Amino acid sequence: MTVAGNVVQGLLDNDYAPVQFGDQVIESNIPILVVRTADVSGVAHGAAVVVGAQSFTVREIRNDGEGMTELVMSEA
Amino acid sequence: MTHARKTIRDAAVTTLTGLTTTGARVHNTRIFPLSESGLPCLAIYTGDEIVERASMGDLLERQVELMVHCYARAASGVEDVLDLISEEVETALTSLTGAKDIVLSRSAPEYSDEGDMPIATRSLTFDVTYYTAIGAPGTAL
Repeated sequence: MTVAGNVVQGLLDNDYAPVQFGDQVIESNIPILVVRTADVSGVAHGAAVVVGAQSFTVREIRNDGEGMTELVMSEA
Repeated sequence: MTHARKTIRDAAVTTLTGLTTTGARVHNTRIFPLSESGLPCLAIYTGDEIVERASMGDLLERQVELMVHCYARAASGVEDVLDLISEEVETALTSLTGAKDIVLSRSAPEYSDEGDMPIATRSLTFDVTYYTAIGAPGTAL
């Protein structure tokens, strides 16, 4: 997998994430890539992520302050 | 016989089925979750209704809210998709079987980033006026 063109190691989660509009629910998932913070220190919102044949865009960066970062992504 | 309100709601479903963007993905009173792969789509409901005695005869003048919820999902430009759907819906819903009048009264958007792509909805509310005889709600006059 690559993040902003750099090869990194990480874990891709794609948990169920229902989207709620009033009483209506839309079934969805939220892709999150867990990586070492040192590997993505220069990554910004909008960066391209490629995992296998799937392409994503980083929309949220969650740095836990202890060496790991979650990149919350959207499908590109 | 069923209520004239159902006739009007069913007529809206029929009228809105086959539009360019949403096609056959039209739901009548959808309660269960929608599938992401089923977007873009429409979900149609009837809401609050105001009922008054008409000035002439034993008639009831009824004004019911017809709600058309438009849903879309797109990596970018999701609002553009909703505007396109809105244009198609508003153009199609100028008259309905059983209704004397139908007019758009409200249009409200809502957005979410909780899924794997931006998902958004625009809720179009139409005020639909129809008449029934007192004690005979099954027939729109």
